[in-house]
Amino acid sequence: MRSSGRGVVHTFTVVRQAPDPYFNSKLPYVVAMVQLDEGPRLMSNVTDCDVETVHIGMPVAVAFVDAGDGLALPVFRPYGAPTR
Amino acid sequence: MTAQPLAGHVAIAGAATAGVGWSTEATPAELMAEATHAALADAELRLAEVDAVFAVTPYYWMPSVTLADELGIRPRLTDSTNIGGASVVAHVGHAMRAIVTGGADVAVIAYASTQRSDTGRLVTRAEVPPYERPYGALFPISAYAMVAQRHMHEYGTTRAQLAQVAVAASQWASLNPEALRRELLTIDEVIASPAVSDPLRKLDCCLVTNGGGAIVLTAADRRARKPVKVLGVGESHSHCYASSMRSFTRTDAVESSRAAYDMAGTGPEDMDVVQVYDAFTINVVVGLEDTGFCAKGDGGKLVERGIGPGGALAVNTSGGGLRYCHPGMFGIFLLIEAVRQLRAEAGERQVAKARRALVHGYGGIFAGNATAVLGRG
Repeated sequence: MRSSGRGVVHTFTVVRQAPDPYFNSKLPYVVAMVQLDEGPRLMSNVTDCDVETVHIGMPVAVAFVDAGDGLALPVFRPYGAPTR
Repeated sequence: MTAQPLAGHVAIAGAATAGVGWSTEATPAELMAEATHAALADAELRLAEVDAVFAVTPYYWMPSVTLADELGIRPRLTDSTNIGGASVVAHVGHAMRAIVTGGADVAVIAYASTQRSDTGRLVTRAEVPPYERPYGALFPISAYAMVAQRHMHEYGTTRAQLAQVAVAASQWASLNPEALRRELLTIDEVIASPAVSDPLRKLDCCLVTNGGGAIVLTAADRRARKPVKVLGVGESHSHCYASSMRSFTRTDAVESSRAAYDMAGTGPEDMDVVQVYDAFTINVVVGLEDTGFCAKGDGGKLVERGIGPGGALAVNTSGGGLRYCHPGMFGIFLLIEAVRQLRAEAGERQVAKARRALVHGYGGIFAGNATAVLGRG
């Protein structure tokens, strides 16, 4: 299946305590389940926005960030006009 | 409804805990053995009569084999099935079927962990999910936080209703001399506790403690001091990790509890006490809905009507994983508390005329589900 890379936030949490030191500098950050327009859901981060603005139903689009070791990590950013 | 043929032929004849606390010198194997000896004494059965061993713990790769070795016995049936915190409730069904079909006479089911003394954190053998780990989710809290967020969105469940679960647990724990957190909580205290993974806060989360327990099962027609019959059992598994959950608000407790009620020929309206695995406050809201104690989405309202002492429904009467103890997997303590209530041995927290108990175990992220209906009289 090919995906447009667009979807909506199905549910999310703002993480306030990091699972390990690697994530300390990122706090607080959003872990979300993103519902792709084509149907499947995946876990990801919602980045490039104030964590307090993230909400269920928020339109998002994929972005690939360099995670080191040659890995490209799919994360999601707000997409389109603000919905609230 | 009529009970199915397996209902009531097997009984829990003994139950005991061991090493519930903040510090211990014992190993998990030693705690499982200690609990087993105590449960056998409670059942007035001898170790030599045990011919089936069921155990689970993240500490050993063959927990039931480790326990049999620790006990110095050679069982003819051994079972280390691991479906997370629901495991020992599932073992009740496995043991029941073995006893009914002649595969076992006396079965022991045990669990123990010394995670508090070893690490101060949850000790688990759950492998790192490759599609979740890079995003920094706290295991398992963030997944349950996403359940809570979605439940609040779909059904209007409130932050205060979640807090009320912890408040009720604190009220029960204040009546349980074995509970490790006995001070009463208020809704404001829960909501003001440190944020961990929104909307869940520290006091929405279970304790991190040591502890173990064991129960002994045998045929119901065997002489026993105060047998508690296994009236119904059910299992269902829907996924493994959070990222493959079909729903964030509905669990396979629906299927497993339906199977257990059907076997017992009963329903939620007949239950006098309910023990539902409360790793987090939201688990109780979802668990009470999915085991049939209210309509889907009304779990928060049921909690508001009262699940503490004297409330509408007696839920997690030990204080639960939130306030009694939580050594990594709480399933064995759900069963032991149900036995204590049904035997009227629960002291100050005794629920009057408790004849039927519903026990529901959750494992992983709402992944493994096992339900048991237990009864006396």
